[in-house]
Amino acid sequence: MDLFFTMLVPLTIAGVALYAAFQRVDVYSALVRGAGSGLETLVRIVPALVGLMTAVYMLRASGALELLAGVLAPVLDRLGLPSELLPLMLVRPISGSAALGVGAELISTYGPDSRLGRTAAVMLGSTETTFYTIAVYFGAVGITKTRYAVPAALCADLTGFLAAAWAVKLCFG
Amino acid sequence: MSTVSIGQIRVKNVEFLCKRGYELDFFVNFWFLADIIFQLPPYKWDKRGGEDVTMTVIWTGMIAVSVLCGLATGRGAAVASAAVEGTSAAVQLSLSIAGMLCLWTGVMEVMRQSGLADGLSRLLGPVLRRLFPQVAQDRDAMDSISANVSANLLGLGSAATPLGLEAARRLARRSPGTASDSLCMLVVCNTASIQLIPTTVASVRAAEGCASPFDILPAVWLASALSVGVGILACKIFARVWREERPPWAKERR
Repeated sequence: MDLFFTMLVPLTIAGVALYAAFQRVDVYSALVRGAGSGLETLVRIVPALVGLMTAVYMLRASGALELLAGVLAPVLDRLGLPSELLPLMLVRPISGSAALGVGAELISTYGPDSRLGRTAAVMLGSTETTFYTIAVYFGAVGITKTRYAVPAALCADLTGFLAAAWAVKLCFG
Repeated sequence: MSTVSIGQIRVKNVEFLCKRGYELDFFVNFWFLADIIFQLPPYKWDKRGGEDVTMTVIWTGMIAVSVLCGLATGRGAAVASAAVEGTSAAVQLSLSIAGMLCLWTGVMEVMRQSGLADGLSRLLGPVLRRLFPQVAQDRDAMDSISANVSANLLGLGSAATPLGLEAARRLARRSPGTASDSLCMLVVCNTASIQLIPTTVASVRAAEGCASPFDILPAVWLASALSVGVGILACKIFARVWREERPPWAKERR
């Protein structure tokens, strides 16, 4: 089973390449063009990442986040969520690059293979930038009466956070 | 025109920002949320200040709070060195995830060109028709919905948003101004992450020296499935009880 998940990614890449070559796609130039667009995305998020990670590092060092986490810890404990991950849960629905910055910082502090590091990674991987998405979709089509879309989306987010903590416990003991 | 209502900003600038790959302002997000929950009147703000000022307020607030809090708790020196560490950490992170990120966007471009996304969206048709019963007969709408969902599954973020907006436009035509059940479902499906291979997170884990950055895949799938499932369930339940345009508790207000 472990081997399957380790090999899943190289197998995916190989499978995609073979299938595309069979479909007479110019695989290599498509790959290079796509990689170029990945670099563009990266260049676009670097300035935001520098600003936001500086602010997050300073907030952490000042103890302000710990104060906030201390206040909310009893609630989070009851839900089975580690309070160290509170900053991540707070920014996740609002800003993608801020969440990436906070998440990367958590992963490097606690280590990628620790329970906290894994939970942070699973949270990042299983939730989206909810408010951004909602604003883009309803904004683009000119809808102001959104009815139950926000509460339903937040239900999904909260479930994602809880499920991330639970799934890491289940999969990694 | 020196003042502009946030409603106009929402409609006119959102799509532009989204196309340019910008994230929306923190403030617009918060206002949007407050507007939905409390049904606020249109907010007037000075355009000269505009979006730059609001982000400035948030960011400056974070910095100011950390300096004040650091001085109050006697951790001034730690805050000072954190400022320096933060900048280099951001650049390091960007550089160390660059390789994997580029490889994956490359592989995804190959997926897109080979028609894998199209095949997947054909497979998804029957499932999606059950999720969107009101538009199941509208072929064009269903096509763009399934293209959007399959692009999301494959992690083709930049392709998924235009496809999703196209689907949303078709759905919105049926009930202008108010979100229909199908539109709410589409939006909730897009706010829940269904990406099968979370490449950015895996790049971060790999950058931190993780030997098998994808070992979280089963946990991510489990958490995503539960989250999407609850989102869909919430939509189906709310659709029955939340028939009015306004939330049930805001009915009396004008």
